[in-house]
Amino acid sequence: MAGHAEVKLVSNAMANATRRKIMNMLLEKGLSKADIGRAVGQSMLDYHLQILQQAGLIKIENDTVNVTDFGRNFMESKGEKVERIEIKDARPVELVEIKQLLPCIADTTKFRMIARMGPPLGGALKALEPLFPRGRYSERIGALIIQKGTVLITIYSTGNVTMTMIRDETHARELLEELRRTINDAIAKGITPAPKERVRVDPMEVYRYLPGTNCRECGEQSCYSFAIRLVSGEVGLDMCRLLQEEKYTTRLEHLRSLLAYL
Amino acid sequence: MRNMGPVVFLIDSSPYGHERAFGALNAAAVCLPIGSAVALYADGVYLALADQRGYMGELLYAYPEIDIFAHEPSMVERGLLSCDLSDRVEMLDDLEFVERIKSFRAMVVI
Repeated sequence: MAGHAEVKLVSNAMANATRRKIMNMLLEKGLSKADIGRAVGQSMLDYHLQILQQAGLIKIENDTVNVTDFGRNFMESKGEKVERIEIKDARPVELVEIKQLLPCIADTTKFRMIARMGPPLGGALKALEPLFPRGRYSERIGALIIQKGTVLITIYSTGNVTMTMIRDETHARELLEELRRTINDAIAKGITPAPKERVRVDPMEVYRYLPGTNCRECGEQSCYSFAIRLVSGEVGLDMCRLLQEEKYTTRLEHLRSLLAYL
Repeated sequence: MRNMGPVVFLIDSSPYGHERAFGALNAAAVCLPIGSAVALYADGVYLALADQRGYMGELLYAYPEIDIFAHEPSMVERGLLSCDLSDRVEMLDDLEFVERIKSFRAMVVI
């Protein structure tokens, strides 16, 4: 049986998208380095193959790369399971602890909170995304990011939860309880919800946080037309010079929450 | 902070024993309004280990908007790929790491 270090090595090796792609290709048949390079790119190929080899997932003989028996077993069991994990595979979560309350930088009347929910939701976290109209699962950071009003909640697969713009601990506990209930209801039903149509960010909501001076320095006719272009992703917040001023710091943080995560 | 763009703070030395990493994380938090990130390189990658001690660990999670990414080859050199790693840290290979750094307007080495 593999030890903890070996298990971690395999899991960290498979955390990389390029290496997962290589492994999936090799499941079909052994390939030359050149073939793999054509599919995933030559740059860093040797490095990625070396990591997979160290993890015991592949073997390289005469320039041909094959999955090892261990690699094949891993991909056919855990590897695929991770990709298609559903809510029914998860266990109900409970709030384990609220770790810390830190003041927000932009608005010192609000707090940042760190909490932990257990047991960890692991790969099921991704399946929970449709439960939250303003939620997005980020493949890049492996976390579910939910916007609720001005509060931003980030849930990690390990069970860590961070919340920003919280009024006080009572507010944090209320939100966490609501989160817990929503997740556990879905787990009790055992059905992975169908993806919902994403709620669009309303330009009017964005407009509320813009300076509203219609200065046209961004090149738009008005702040509202700037808001429309922000929502469509055509321009960035840095185009608004006034927003960079200190008095608009809080508004800028709200806008980042609205736009950067959805 | 007018006219500034997103900034990345590079931590290239061990996170404990001096206050560079602590300072970089705090500076990144202060720079949130203009966008900030933390890059871990060389001995700085020890910050990618799970269960960091005390306030440092809390800082990592308190600011989810701060991207934290690590140079994976530095981690491999130090045998960290066999360890429990923080879910806050994204691992990038050489090229990805350089490209990510280049995407910021400024890099600060503390």
